[in-house]
Amino acid sequence: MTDISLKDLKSGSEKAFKSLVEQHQDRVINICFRFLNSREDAEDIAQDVFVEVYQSINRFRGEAKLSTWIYRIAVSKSLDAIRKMKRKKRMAQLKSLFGLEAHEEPAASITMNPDNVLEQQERAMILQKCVKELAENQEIAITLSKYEGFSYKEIAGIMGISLSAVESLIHRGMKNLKEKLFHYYDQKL
Amino acid sequence: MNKKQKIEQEVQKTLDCFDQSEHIKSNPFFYTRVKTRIEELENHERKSELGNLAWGILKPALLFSLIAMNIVTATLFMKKPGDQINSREQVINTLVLEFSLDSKQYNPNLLFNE
Repeated sequence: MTDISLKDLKSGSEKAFKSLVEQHQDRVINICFRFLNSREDAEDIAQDVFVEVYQSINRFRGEAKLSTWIYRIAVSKSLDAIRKMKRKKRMAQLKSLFGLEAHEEPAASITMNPDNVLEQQERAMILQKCVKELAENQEIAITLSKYEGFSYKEIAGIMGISLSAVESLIHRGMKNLKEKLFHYYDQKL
Repeated sequence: MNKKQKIEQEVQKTLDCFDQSEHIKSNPFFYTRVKTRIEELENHERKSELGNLAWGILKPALLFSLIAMNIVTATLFMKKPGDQINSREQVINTLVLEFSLDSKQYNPNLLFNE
């Protein structure tokens, strides 16, 4: 994104904002999807991301790339949504415990993973589950690196940490992930 | 192949899913939805701004009328304490005249002693 576009964006140009959305919407939706595992939720949060971008573009000082800033908002909004969902789930469990409300298991989304082969789909789900069990920072770094193909430098920008910290997070994350998968298959086989 | 090797193979196959994961495409109406949300939010903000403005005018007016009422009440309460006694005496006199009362009539002991 050039400086002129950024200037246009800051002046409230709809054309500039539209081109910004069109340029980044797929990447943002995919980032959200990796964390939320639901296409509908991902689209919803991605919309929130661009609303936030629109509202706070004047606060963007250009210290990082505009795309990095947008992806940072996407990660933070996705994590907030996950926390909210967990809180909601806990409340529902509590309510069902006291008989206030019938506990309903959320229906599995048919758009949970687009892999076609059943075995692959199962593997992808196991992998996703194990990634989710990692520490939050490791989960973010691995999701951005392995699923979305961001470079370590980009991840450092998105997470607001140093390059060496990203390397360390991914190294430790992958080690933990392998251990979790090993433990899973050890019990299964 | 022993169990450990089998497990390692499974782990590797599972880790390969990172590379095979597909990417989803955004909805063609994505921008329209974002735009609608922004408009809704702006409308809501405009409404609350109007509400804040109205409250901003009402609040000092309410405060002013409260202060004015307090001043008036305090002034009436502290106004000429002598007047109050006079008016009290006037009230008693009026009552005496109206019901034709004097000290003999309302003291039965005095009537019997006479």
